[in-house]
Amino acid sequence: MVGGPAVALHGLVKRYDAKVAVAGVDLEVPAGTFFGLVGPNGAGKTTTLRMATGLLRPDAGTVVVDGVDVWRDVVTAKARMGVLPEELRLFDRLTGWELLTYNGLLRSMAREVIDARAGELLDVLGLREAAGVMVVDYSQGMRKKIGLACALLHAPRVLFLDEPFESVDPVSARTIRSVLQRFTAGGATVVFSSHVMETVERLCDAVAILHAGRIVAAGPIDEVRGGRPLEDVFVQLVGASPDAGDGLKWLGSSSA
Amino acid sequence: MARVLLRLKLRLLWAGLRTGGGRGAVGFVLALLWSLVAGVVIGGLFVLARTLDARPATDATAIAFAVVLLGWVLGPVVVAGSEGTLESDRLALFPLSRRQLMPGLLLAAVAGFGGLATVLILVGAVIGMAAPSPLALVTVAAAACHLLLCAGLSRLVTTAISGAVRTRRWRDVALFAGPLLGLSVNVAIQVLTRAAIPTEPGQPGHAAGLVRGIATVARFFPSAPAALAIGYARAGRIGLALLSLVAAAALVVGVVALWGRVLDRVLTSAGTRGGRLRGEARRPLIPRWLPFLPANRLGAVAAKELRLTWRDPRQRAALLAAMFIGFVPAFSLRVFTSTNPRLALAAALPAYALASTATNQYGYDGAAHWTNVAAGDDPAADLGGKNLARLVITAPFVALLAAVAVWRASSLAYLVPGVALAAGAFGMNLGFADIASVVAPLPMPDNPSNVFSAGNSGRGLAAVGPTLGVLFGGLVFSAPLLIVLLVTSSPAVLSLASMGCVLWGAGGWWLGFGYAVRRSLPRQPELLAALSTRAT
Repeated sequence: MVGGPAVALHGLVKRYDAKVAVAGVDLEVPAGTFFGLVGPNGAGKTTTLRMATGLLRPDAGTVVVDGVDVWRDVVTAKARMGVLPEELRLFDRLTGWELLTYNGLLRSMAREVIDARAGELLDVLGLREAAGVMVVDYSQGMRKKIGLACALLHAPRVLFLDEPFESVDPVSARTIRSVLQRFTAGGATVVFSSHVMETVERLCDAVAILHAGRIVAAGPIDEVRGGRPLEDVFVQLVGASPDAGDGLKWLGSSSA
Repeated sequence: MARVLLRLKLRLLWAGLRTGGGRGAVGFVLALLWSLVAGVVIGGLFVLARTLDARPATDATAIAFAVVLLGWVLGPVVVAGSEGTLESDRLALFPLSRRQLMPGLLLAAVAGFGGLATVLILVGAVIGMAAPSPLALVTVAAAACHLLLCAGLSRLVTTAISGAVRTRRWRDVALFAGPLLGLSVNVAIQVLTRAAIPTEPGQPGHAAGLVRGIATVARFFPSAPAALAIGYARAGRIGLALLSLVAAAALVVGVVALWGRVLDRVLTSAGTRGGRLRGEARRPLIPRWLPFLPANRLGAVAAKELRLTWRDPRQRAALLAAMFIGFVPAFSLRVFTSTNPRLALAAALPAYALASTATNQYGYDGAAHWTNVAAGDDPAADLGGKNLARLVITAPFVALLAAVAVWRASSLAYLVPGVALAAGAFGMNLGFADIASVVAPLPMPDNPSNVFSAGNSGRGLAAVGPTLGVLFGGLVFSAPLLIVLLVTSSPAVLSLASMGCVLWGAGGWWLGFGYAVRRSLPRQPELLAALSTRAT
């Protein structure tokens, strides 16, 4: 794929009975960028990413990843993308090493390639010592890291990560950031969702703000920010909550 | 503080009645009924035991006290966390000393269904065993000692394991141990019942000898001094009765003192164990002892299924249940003792059972099935791998039954028909099961309270219905060939019927598997959505 966007979403819609989770998302993610999808809880970030990765069928709209229509040629499209879902459910009675091998074999990779890449990923992500431990015994940060390793194993062109830094300690978060930066430096694309503006500002080249199932702002991060902190722009676009300063005056006054 | 903890326990019991919708109320009523029945029946037996001689009466007391004590000790182990709010390490958060906690915790232990049953049993023991003399006081004191011993030992065990019960390894063992313990009790009762039946008319059964043997073992339990004190008091042997009573009281003091020390440690040490996880071993996903599994998606899924069948307590339990369906009829048919060569046909039983119980092959994957969907849709490899794993699990059991039957009969005449029938039953039923697996996938709960359950109430039929359908449907479809194999002894007909079985099974599997793949290929996101609904 040369020249075109890495990810193109057009008119993406998903309804759950009467509730519209995603109400017509149009978005283009340039190739080789670190792209942040931000929005408050319930904005439709996870639903959008699941539709973009072929895990959830949209009611309407198209998804093109690396030039391949995801819902027309699902196998080719999935071969070009890596996924790390938010609620990271894994076959956690496999060891880290077995889980990586499983993912590699699912994608028809050769055993030698799987072994070599899995070893490198485990080293870089600091999981080498826990390679023979069942994933069910991993901490949340370790689970995210082994999930990331599985998503990277087949060297995808586009990586979709749903809340990759949620519940992750600062050390693991730094490791994940460093791996992702190395990934995009090689020309690949990362699309990740988050509601931590600081992380998005620090990592992303471009950002889209999703609110109530719609994109309310998108573009290069400096353009979206307009010289202000991203959090201020975000709060302004999605609507600020009432000031909580007047209540709870008793907090901190206990002498018991 | 004792009153506070007692009230807390009673409130917990009351909350158990009201929570969980109807299930909480049903559980409460069943537990209450069970306690009343156990207490009244065993207590009533003690009352009836007034007529027994001294030795059998003491034996009965020793056994009953040992059983009650085992219940108090094993109950909290297999039902870990049943009384979560009163777990000792949770109480560490409060500024309470062990002297403040111990009386209340002891009292709270007795205030429950187990306590109710035990008190009823002990009241029966006092009524039935007390001599009409001042020695009756020894009986009452010994019964009280036994109650305290039960509560104290139970608290000692729960306190000692309070940190461990929240670990994954402990839950894995406990989930499996509970139902197995229940099964063991059931088997023990059946063995005792069979032993009581005379082998020949006019002859006594073996029950008396068996009871004597159990009583001898029970006399080594910590419950023995109290039981012996009651027995000696009943026999009027005052010296031995008092000595046993002192021993029982000393045991209670010792257990409570030990519990105090353990409680101190739990209250003053970190509740969770840290430390780095280690396990560098690069064990390959596909076991070396299964070299025929291909190094591709099919082999990966099969290897994953095999590993998870062993490592996941839910899947281990499902396998055990399937084995139960397969092997109980084999025992009833006396495959292991009979010399009838036709019993080699029973080799089909485990194949029939293990294929029929595969009606929810994606259920244990649950939401983790996204891994396969994200890697590109290939239901033929996914379902094929699951089928292959089921075959690998089934084959040794078929071989075992066939080999035993051949060895017992010293005849190979029915070896091929037996294995062919197994292949036919396996293929036909697995074909049905494949269809059920993709048409009605049911996510299994991640953290069930009972590994043999289907999860939430109301899901039982949804979980078991397809299996019952396949068990019945497979039998109907295979019946003609089975009848031919049972009625004929002609080698030519047996050979033809054997070939028919294999073709029948292969055809059934091919049709079922093919339909399941065709149906699920364009519906992988929908299958994932069905598996991602939260199962509790």
